[in-house]
Amino acid sequence: MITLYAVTWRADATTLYDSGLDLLADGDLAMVVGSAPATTTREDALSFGRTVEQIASAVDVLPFRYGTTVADADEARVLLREHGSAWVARLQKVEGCAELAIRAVPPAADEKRAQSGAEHLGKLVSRSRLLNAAEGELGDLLTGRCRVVRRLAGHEELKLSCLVERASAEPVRSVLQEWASTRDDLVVSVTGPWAPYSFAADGQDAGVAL
Amino acid sequence: MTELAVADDIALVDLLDRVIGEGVVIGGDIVLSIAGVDLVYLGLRAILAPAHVAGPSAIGADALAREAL
Repeated sequence: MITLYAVTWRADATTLYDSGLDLLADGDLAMVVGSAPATTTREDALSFGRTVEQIASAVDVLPFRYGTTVADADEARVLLREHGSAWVARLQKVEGCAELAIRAVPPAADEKRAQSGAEHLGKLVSRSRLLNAAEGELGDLLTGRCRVVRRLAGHEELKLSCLVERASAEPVRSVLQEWASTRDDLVVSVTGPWAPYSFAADGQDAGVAL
Repeated sequence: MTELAVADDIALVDLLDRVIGEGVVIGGDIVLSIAGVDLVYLGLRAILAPAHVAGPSAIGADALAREAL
């Protein structure tokens, strides 16, 4: 069994020769693969993530979801051939880009237990309005700074992924942190730059193109 | 816990969130049929992995994230 890490441009893949991983090429693409670990633990998932980040620091990638394995290199090559044109188009969309992750949640002090059903619903509505308003503000803030912003699932918190040019990642992160420092009503975290996981699959430009 | 340690933990949670919940998935389609009659069409977004390998995806990022904290 082999684990699939990422798809990259064949022309760039030569820089990964010393990575300790194997490269399978077809057309303009190369697939970065390695032997599948025998265990599946949190550490294995993190190790996979760190490896992908290392690859992404050197070349443009479409990262595979953790746990994607195939029987052997032949099966991987078949996938590369079958999905090649879609992956080329997707890789072009994330070329030169990384992902920033934003989380915003009301402070824990606001989590006092509701005394009635009506109060509980009222709290849910207020929280939802607060998070939607924050999403709007962030959308304005990121216009012209990010290529795409996507809201990820999570009704208890606001989770946004921004596709940003790698060279702009740090300046955009600073802008976001400055915004976060003005919000007493939200606890905000900004992490990344990450490999563009949230923009790697078809249908993931469903976010707002900015 | 120091501010730096908290920031590291949040970064780990965000990385796990992405590794487990996002990224390229291999799509496929399957038609379940009996005696040549097509019964159910399923659009699959399958992870090609045996259950013991794909386990964490089934557990979900939140469970692993809690573990990471």
